[in-house]
Amino acid sequence: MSSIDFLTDFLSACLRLTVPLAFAAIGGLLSERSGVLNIGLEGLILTGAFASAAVAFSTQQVWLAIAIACCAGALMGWIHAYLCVSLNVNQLVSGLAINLTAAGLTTYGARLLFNTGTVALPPLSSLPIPVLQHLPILGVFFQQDLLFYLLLLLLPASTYGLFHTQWGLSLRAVGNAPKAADTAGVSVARIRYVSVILCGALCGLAGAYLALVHVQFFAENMSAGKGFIALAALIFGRWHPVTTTLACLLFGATEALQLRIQAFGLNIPYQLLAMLPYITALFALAGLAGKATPPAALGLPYAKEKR
Amino acid sequence: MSHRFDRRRFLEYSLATAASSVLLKACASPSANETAAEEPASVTESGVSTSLAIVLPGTITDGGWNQLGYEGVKRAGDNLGIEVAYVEQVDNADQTESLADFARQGFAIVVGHGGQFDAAIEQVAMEFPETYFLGVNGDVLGDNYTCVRTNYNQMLYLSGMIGAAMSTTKKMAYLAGMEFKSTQQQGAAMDLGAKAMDPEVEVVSSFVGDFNDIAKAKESALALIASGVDVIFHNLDNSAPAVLQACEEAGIYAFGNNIDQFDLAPQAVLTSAIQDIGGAITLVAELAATGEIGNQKYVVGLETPELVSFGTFNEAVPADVREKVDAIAADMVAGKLVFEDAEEEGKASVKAVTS
Repeated sequence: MSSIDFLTDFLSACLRLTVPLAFAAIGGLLSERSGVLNIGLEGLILTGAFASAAVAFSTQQVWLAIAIACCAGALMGWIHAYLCVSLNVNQLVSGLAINLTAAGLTTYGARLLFNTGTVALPPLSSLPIPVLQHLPILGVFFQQDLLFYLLLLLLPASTYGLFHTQWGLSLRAVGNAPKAADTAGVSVARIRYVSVILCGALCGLAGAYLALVHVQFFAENMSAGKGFIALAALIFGRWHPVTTTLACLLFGATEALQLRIQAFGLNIPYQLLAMLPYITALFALAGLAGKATPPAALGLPYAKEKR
Repeated sequence: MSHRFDRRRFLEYSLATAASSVLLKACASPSANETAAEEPASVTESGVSTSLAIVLPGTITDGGWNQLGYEGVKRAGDNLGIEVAYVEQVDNADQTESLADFARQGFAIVVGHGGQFDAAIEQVAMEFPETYFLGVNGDVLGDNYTCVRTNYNQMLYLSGMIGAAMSTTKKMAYLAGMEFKSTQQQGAAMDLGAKAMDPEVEVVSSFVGDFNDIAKAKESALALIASGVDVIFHNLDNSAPAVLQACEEAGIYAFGNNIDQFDLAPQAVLTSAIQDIGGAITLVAELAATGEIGNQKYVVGLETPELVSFGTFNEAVPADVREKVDAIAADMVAGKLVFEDAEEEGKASVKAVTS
């Protein structure tokens, strides 16, 4: 196999593995920037995957499936927001509850709805861009589906939104100094609700990508730890959309690489290779990427009356 | 500083506590023990005082390995009229705890469903001398534990032969969820069979790292295909359909495993290595329940065609290849071709002994 073929194939594998991570990580960073810790990303992705699978399976309408996945994610996000913001539940516990609930409900739903554990789904067709798709190697970027292009749009949009708009300023203020934001007339609760619901919707898209684009099957617990890798990526990317996406790309690339090293029969234990992404993350967190400072009010519920 | 008693806060907290405890309870123990009661030991008409539990690494709906195991113990339970319980999706880290939990509850026979349970069974069996443990596709034997497995070496050897005849790139792959003794041996047996057919053919063993991560399994298959592999034998649970589909789309060949998976990808699947591990479990579990179990490892092979055989054949497989395979299979049944454990570069392997 020529090196061009290898690179093309490697790059497209990287992208497939990165996209769901990136959607979830950007969602997670919105939630965390507003001060709500969200370890429920895993459950939110799974919810999105199941919702999209259920709708696609029963109606064969791929776009409807994606929309419903988005809504289902948002609904789960709303539950997390309600528990954390309105009821001041410990945010770790709430996230955990989201993960467990999603795992239980989707498994239950899958067994009600599908006869077998793994069910084939109608795929979301890709949308190649004329001319550009024939570029050597880089052409891979232009043979993707709409969700991928949406991610490319989401990147500048979220960066601009977070750092150059009033909404972004409020969001970051709420996450760093909720009291000050409250004094300035920003509704802490509303901002947090909106960001956590947005996070849920984006994770829903991540799940829909996984089910309808990447695998085109639904299997129980198919999120398989992606939510936690996204969580690592957003810390590694220091809560910035662009660096977070790059971190996801790094994780996706190490994964794609380790599968290829195995395929070429190099005599390295696969467990060592499977560890690669996590080791990279560890080194990165240990200081290679600079000190990571989380939003100051991350994980702290805000109660107005408390003095 | 001092917290006043606040009725609204109190209501909110108690509501949240109640809600999350309900949520946690609803899903903390994902679908354990469908029929488990407080007192699992029961005396039945046949005079057997026993009960049976199985610990599964995947889901009972995977249409493969775990479903077969679950159905196997259920059948044994029905035949003997004894109580059966199961727990699904047990990670490696929870193996000992799950096995010990059933033993503690008083189940007389506890099955660990997969070669990855070997170490856990050896560890737990010592603590519970009253309980009988059974490792499926494992390789353990002791006072109160043994293993049952299909003679996967036979199936992989023959599949290797068929694959080698069909491969044009001379490169095939064995793709399994995890690496342990039986999966290492399966890869080696496939390589032996392939080389017996065509000495130039090479078999790579590749491991996903997870039997159930469907996205990663599909990526593994795509990576193998990109490296020039054109025949894949998979050993996966609920990820299998995605892998077979990927082979179908790429226009390469594959094998079904455990059950007849021909219909999942009728262009790609050459045939399926049917290994009714459930039937094998039923067989041995019934022996254990009636106390007739001997001090031996149980291996079920081609000599029991109702449990181990090949499924629907693809029309692309030429008749002369099938004849060759049938001849070797007959040798295996006659005991003229047997497999012995071997070791190669620190990994488990097999060698074929002809007589």
